[in-house]
Amino acid sequence: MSRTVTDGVRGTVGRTTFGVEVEGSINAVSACRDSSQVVVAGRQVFKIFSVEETCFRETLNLRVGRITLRYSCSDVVWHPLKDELLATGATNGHVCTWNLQKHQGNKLEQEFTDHSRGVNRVCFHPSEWHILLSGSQDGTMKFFDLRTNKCEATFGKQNDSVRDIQFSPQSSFNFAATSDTGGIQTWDFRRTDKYLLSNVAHLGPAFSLDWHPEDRNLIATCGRDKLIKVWRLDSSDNGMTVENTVYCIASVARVKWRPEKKYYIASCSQVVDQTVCIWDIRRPYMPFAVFEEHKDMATGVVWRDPHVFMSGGKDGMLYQHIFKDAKRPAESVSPVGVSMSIYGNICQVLSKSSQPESQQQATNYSNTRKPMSFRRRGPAGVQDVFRPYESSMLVHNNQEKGTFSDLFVSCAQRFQLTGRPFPELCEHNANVSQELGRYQVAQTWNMLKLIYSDNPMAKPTTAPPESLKQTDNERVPELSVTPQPTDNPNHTVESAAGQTDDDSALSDSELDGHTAATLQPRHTRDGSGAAAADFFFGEQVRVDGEGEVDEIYDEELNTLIMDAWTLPNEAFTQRHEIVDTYRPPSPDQSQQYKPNTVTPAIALIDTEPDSLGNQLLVAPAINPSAAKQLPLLQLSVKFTPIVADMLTFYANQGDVQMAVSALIVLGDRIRDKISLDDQEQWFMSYIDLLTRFKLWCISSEVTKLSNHSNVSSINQQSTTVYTKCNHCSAQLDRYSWACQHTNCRKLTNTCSVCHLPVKGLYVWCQGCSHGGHIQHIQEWLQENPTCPTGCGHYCEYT
Amino acid sequence: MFVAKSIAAQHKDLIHDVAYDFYGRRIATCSTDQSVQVWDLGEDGEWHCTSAWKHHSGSVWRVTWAHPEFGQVLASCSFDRTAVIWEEIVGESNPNEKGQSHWIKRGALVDSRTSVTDVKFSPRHLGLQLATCSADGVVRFYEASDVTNLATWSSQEEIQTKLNCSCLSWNPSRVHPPMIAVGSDDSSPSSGGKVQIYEYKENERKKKWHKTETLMSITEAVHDLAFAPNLGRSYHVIAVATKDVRILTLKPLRRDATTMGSIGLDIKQPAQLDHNNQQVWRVSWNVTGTILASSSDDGHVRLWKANYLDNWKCFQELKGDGTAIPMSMPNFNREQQQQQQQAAGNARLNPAIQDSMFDGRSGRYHAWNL
Repeated sequence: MSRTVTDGVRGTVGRTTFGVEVEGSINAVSACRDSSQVVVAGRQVFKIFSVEETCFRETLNLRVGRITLRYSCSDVVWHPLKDELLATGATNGHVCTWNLQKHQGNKLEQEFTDHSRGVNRVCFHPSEWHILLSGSQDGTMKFFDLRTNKCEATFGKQNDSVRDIQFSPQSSFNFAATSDTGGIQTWDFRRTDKYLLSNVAHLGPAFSLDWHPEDRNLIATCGRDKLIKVWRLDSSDNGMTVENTVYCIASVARVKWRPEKKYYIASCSQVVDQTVCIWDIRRPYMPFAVFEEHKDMATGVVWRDPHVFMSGGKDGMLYQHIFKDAKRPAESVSPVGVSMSIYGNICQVLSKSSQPESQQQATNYSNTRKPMSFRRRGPAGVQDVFRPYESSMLVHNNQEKGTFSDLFVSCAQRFQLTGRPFPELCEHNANVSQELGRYQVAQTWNMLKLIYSDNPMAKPTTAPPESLKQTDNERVPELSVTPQPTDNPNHTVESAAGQTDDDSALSDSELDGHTAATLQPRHTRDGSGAAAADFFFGEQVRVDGEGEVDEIYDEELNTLIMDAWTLPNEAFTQRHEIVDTYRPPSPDQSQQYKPNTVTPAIALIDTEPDSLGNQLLVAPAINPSAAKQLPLLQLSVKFTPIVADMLTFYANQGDVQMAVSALIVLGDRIRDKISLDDQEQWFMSYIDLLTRFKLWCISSEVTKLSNHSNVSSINQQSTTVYTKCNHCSAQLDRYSWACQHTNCRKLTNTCSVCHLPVKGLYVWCQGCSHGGHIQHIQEWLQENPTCPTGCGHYCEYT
Repeated sequence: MFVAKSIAAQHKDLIHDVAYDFYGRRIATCSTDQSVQVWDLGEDGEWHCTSAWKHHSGSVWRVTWAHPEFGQVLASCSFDRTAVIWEEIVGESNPNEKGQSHWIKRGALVDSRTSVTDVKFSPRHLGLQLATCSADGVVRFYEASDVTNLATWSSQEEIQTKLNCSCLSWNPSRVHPPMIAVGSDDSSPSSGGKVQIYEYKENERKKKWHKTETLMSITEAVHDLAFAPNLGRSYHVIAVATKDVRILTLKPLRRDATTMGSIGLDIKQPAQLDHNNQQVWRVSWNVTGTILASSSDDGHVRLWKANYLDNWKCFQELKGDGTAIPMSMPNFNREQQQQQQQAAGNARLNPAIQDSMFDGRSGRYHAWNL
């Protein structure tokens, strides 16, 4: 996998993470030369542990005898050469050395009391055994000679507390120190008067520093400003420059280079972060490994080897950490990101390292099964190859013609929801959908038109008689335009079916009268007798010959093709009538004829796409269950639940636009069939979508037309008009035309011409804000160019 | 058909999250380099970085936009254990900066003791609320006490998920009680289901967040999850990014917002979408909740879509180098498409893929147009 962070040290065999609890928080840890023993020191604790295979074993408690402040250690260091020698710095300013070979209970060997305030750090010279340096809160650094047993030299001025002091591991005379003011200085301990180099390393205290174990000119410092900085000392021009900066999440208390790993450094925080982080300084923002064992701040880190280190913490725990138990944050973070905009565009970010060529590289490395040491020393070892972690960002623009957003916006803008008779609205919307290539939606509109305007029974309770007549009148010319033989049976059957249905379903006599009235012209036109006779006539067509049926269909289709799209209604009507004719008059007949009737229906459906497009086909397409029911539809009343189902279907499909548009156009025809909650959700979703596409006007119109209390209340929210008196600026409370204020009591904004309050239209100039009755202003401006008040403004009314 | 345009991101390390705003005209990105950047779509159709700022002191994991009703507001969450709310101010004080915008820190949510892994604003109908989740498994809810003053955020509730959380998502539905899903990237399968569903319900006369479900079918580490936008559905759809992409539907068994006790959810998993055996890191829905984009380890983005049988199919794969691989579709769809084109009388030879979305369940006229 390309993302696995490898440093080649995972196979540390036989070592485990373990810890031991000591009494009291640990301020510092130090290990002896071969790391077999470790000393921990704090205000309450001063102990030596031997490091066993799986645990720490306490070997010596140095905090014995009379407890004085010298045991309150802020730092401890093991002598790098002599395994029996330790040095501590105490919070009372004493520097002590301890000899483990002494046989008395108290191992104290020497005690220096030269510092006036707490000692922050002590440090032995790496090769001269007798040299001990200390840095103190009092601002000085002192050099103690263990042979003469006294302070031989003092460095530094009094005003800047020394936080850390470390000898350079390579050059025998140099040491570096950091201070409370964020400064870093390097000194030659033969020169006590002046530092060699100085720089401001950090904002706020610089808590710690560490010389690079291999590169003698590199120093890492850390401070309260949450940074770890790596400095390169340049002896030629006596300067120091920042080579790397690492950004930590909290102020950094200690840093410690990882041995044998050039670019790795361990850090622990002063506050907030309890983890010990190992950083690759080339990746400054994300720690390479994180150790989370401590429950409080870690305070000291000491490396055993590149894969194992020990740390003490304020929680009183001493741990040995193994690299293979570390968390690798880089492995659990997302290398990619993706987001889709409302326009269907996709923004993608991905790690450059996950792109093919570098993937190849990574695979090669992870496949090498060479020994660790081999790889490390190789000329192009893993750790020397650093691929910068970067992401590339791509925006994929959806170039598809007719994307969702395009269709949505055009439909939103072009659909008509009100202001015209229902059939026209439907037809208009159907045409719009057709043009936009949304055939199913177009078909749905056509269906709606058909269902609710051609069939008066569909809305028996709500439709006023006028509309019935209107729709009927519309039909008549259409029928006369196409005098086809096939029209006769179909139409009559439809009317018959309608009427029978009407009879059975409705008891309202007035309505019956209506339907009878509307049906009558058709019967006469068809030249048939009673409804019942028509019904049988319709059946007879089927009975007479099965072959004839197909012919009839073909004929129909041919006419329709010839008529192209001018008569979609015609085509439609027939379609439904065909379906309806299959209603068997009696059970035995139905058994006999059902197979025959079903077959042509299927044939019709199959041929339709060729000739008529999908326009005809929506009825079965909408809903399989609805399609099955359709032949048995008793017309009229039962359409409404199906239409409601259909709208729900659209909404479920994410096309809330269609659901809402149809809902508005259908109005009362459907409203009570759909739960108010659903309606509200659809409206709100649609309005939300409209606002996302910044179609404010349409959104406001939809809100207005919603006829749903919760929805239409949006338009009344968050809109407040405050009015003030134009004389005294007091707020107008009750009347807009007169000021109620005690000292004012004038009429507001009277007509500038007649000085009377204006009711109704008030027209005013935006330049000088004078105005009045529209007629007066018009009259005035015909003769005068300036404001009637005499303010001198050349008023403009547009 | 997608045309890719590369943008020179100025982040110095990995970008972890990218978010379009409400109108799709701005992009916010956040990165391990501790910075957040905002990109605006210019008049020229190019994306310009209009703001970049650095305030966090750790990797910024996520960035999210608030509804524009509340102003131009962003929230980001970071490894430094904070979530921060940012507001854009168009410079008016300094005449030199007129028209220049800059983002200022409005509020900081500093309750977490560990890395804050996700932050999400609530759906708009719940007002200006915010949920965060952190690596130690605590989900926190905040509400702006005053929407005109984003500096004060009152902590509403804390819930313990007992799993290290990696992501959360609000259910956008306005008719159902508030609901969130929380995912965990705990990788051990033994710790059970990695996605938990919480609902805000009244219990013992007190409205609180309650755990309604744990999705036991998902035991692998979950890196992202997202509820699909709900425009009118009666059930919820959630996409989960784990080893693969899971799509789950949650159907409330009883639609009643106020009853006591728990209302169960009927959970089904209509799809488990393999990502070429790659770890999936991010999922994102389109505006109608019909297309899902998911992004995996190899950097590829796959686009998924359901047909009328709720079969989810990948119809496009966007590679990281800007090329796209259209997926081949089953043959019958091609036939259908041809039929449809003929049927349309060549009026429109190329009915767009989006229309097949509208045609969803109709089946016969369903087309994968590619």
